[in-house]
Amino acid sequence: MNTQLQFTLNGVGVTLANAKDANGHDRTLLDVLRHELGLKATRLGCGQGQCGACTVLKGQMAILACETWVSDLEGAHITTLEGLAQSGTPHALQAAFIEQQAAQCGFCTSGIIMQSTALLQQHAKPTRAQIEEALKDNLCRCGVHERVIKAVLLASGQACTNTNNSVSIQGLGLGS
Amino acid sequence: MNTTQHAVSTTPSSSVLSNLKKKPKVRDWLDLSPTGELQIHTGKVEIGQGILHALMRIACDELGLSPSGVKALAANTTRSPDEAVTSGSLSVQDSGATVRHVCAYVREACLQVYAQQRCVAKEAVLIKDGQLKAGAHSAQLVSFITDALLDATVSLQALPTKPTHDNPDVLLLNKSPAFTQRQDIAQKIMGQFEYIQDLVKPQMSWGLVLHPRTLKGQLIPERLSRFERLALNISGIERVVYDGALVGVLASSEHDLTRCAALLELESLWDESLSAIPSELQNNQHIGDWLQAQPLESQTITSQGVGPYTARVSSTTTSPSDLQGPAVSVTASFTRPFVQHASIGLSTAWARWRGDDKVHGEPSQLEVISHSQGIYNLRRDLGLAFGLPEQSVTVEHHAGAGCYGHNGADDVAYDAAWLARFKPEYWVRVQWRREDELGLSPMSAAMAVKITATASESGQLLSWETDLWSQGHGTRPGRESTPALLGAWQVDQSVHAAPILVAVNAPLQNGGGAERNAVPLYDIPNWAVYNHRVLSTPFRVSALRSLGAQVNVFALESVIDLLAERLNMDPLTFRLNNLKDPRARAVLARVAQMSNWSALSARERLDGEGWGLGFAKYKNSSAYCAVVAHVKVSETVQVMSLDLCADIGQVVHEDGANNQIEGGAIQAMSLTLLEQAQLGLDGVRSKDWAHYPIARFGQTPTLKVSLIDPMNSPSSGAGECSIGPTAAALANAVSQAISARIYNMPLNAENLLQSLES
Repeated sequence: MNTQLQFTLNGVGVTLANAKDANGHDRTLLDVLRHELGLKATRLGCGQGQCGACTVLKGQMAILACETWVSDLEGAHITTLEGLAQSGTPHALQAAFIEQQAAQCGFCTSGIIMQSTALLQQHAKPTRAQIEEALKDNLCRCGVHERVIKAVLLASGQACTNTNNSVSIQGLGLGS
Repeated sequence: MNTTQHAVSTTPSSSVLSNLKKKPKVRDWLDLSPTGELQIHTGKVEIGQGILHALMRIACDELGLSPSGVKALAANTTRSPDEAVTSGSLSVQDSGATVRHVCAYVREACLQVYAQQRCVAKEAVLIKDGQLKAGAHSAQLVSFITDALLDATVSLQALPTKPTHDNPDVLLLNKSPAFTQRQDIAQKIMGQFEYIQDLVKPQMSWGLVLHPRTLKGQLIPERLSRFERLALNISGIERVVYDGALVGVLASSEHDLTRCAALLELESLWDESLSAIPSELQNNQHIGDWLQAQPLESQTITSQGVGPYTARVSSTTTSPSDLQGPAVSVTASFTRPFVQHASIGLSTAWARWRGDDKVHGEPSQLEVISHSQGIYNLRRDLGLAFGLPEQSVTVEHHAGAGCYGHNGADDVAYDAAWLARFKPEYWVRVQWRREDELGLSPMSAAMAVKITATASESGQLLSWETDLWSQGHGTRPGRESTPALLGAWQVDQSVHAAPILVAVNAPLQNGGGAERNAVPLYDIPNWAVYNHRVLSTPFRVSALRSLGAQVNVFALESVIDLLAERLNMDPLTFRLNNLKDPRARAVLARVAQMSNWSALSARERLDGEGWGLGFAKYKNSSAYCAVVAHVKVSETVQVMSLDLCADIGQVVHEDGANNQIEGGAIQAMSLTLLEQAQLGLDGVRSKDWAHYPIARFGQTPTLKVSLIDPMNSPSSGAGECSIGPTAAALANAVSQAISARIYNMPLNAENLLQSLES
């Protein structure tokens, strides 16, 4: 059976010689991205569709690459974190995440940025509640949630008052 | 204020002296790359916390260099100083102070040589933008870092330290993104950061190592045979191997391994009954009873004004302080169940065996790539496990996903080394599965804490007595005569016996383990802390961020609030009444200001709304942190805001410290409100995210962090100081919100209801 497959990845046409493995079994998009196409920013966190670390875009929709069979992607447009920057210029979300330093270990970050990209395509100026709802299935263990929310607000051109978590280093005030 | 020439002489700390005793030369810590980039050698490793950026900042501050010319290298046992484990919020404090001292030594040497060349006084030479300047002349500072200087022995005397925060030039420079933004974060956001999971090697194999779900599970031979037959039917599976209870699979791709692992869903390979997991552990409501019923090693950790363990103080004992007036007394018990490490990434390691010399007919040189927190300790235990001298093992650090304590990194390094023996000369990559990550990594020990405290009616604390029950909080590699590596405990024991190790606690002067932060910082005339170390090991436990401090500060600060309530005193006032330490008072005063605390008591509280305060000085020797939590409680707890103020001494990287303190607060919130391991007779049952919920985006409070920098105090780490105080602030806020004291974590509906009913 010919299982050759074509889809668009980060704006470039890709032809997979074989959408199935040698036993004729389906392969996940995550496996193909990481091990056949060498795009490593999409991460394996659980492989069970529960953590969001492998989030990518199919068209404008966020999907989980660990739960997506590549054989279902004929003709699809897939975008990964590597495809967000244009000619070396970071995407607005990437610039905002860098400015807010919205990461620590960064392992969940690419999934969060891809989920946020889908959100901004749906809501150009999302509210805090909409951001929290959109990211509810993206887990982060380092605890950068507040920074991420601010970065998404910033990327959507909304005032991101830094006063909330500004670092104010002051001398030792010996008040009561 | 012109302070460019202002220099404070800093005496090296004991940790700096100890580091320099082991590695005395400049070159041990600093080096130049062939292109003239300054390279920092550190034994501390990047675990998501930004230590390499902080060390770069220190070198830039001391030498007036820009970040583009300085890089801190990943640790490697062939080259880096042995700085034990990256833990305990000690990296900036110890490695940072050493790098600062070595850089100061180099700076003074460069100034000296240049001053002599220009025939001017050393004080007349300025350092700016990587240049030494004397009048109209200037020269590159790095050109004075010669081989002779690199080979020099670093002075152990006090050296002038250039303060970072009162030099206007440095301050200006430090606000540029190159200083404030971590380069690794930009790489992660741009998809350019290479994690250990992303490496590829030309001659490699993909490996899976399968462990029983309990420590003493035994392979069932006929099930293994079935598994092997089915596995070998999968096209990419090369080989199935086993030893004791361990099963290994070598394959040509990760995809094939995933298919192979799916076979285990049909049937487990092990009989887990030998582990005899106590059935009480299936219900976290019984955790306190279980802990206290175990074989215990009881000891007085520390005391003042009261006798040893057998002669206890009680609320009726007369002490001189009682003369102040009749005491109010509170006795309260608190518990927390086992909690899990729960990193988003999967523990991964690479190993390769090489060499012509043979040990037991096998190659004798082992190379390992690991995201371990302690590469030298791992090397030592790998040597023990495989009967190799340490010099035959090299361990290179490569960053993985976030690490918050003793996770599976060391264990999976053993797994890779064990499996790679079956394929010499090949790099073998082993990655745990999600169920291994949650089910095999060491947990943080369950704890029970009982406190009896008294105070005078005028609000002075009189006595304090704490009993705590917990397994130890450390089973890290590198400390025992047999390896502390999970797989080494589970292979056939006839070659290299490796018994299951019972968790231990570090001495209190090193921060302690279960007893960390059990000793109140408050001024109390009589106090004692008794630790009852649980000696049974149904499950492996080890260090998780802040160790016992999350539970101890939760309990201690709950009792402070209970006493204040009895005395009808404001909780902040009561704390300040009993706290002379000016730095402690300062963080409390600041956080009160941030949260408008004084107005809170007058504010009308809605039903189910509460505010709470929590404070601790981490390990009683490190950073100060005070937290105010605002919560709303209906069926569950919603945290509206967390205000934090910390004093971490001299701040090296403001935003990095802030990020650590915020992250600690969110993680503590998750641990305190949500987390509890679910255990069964067949091992850890909370082995996916559906069964081990952690904090999600919808639960994010607004966060405010403020840092106090007391001038000229040495740096402390920022990574763990907010954990205990956040847990405590939440306990106090929730208790206020439901008008009932909450004693048991997690603060979920079940435990809230129990508090309301009791």
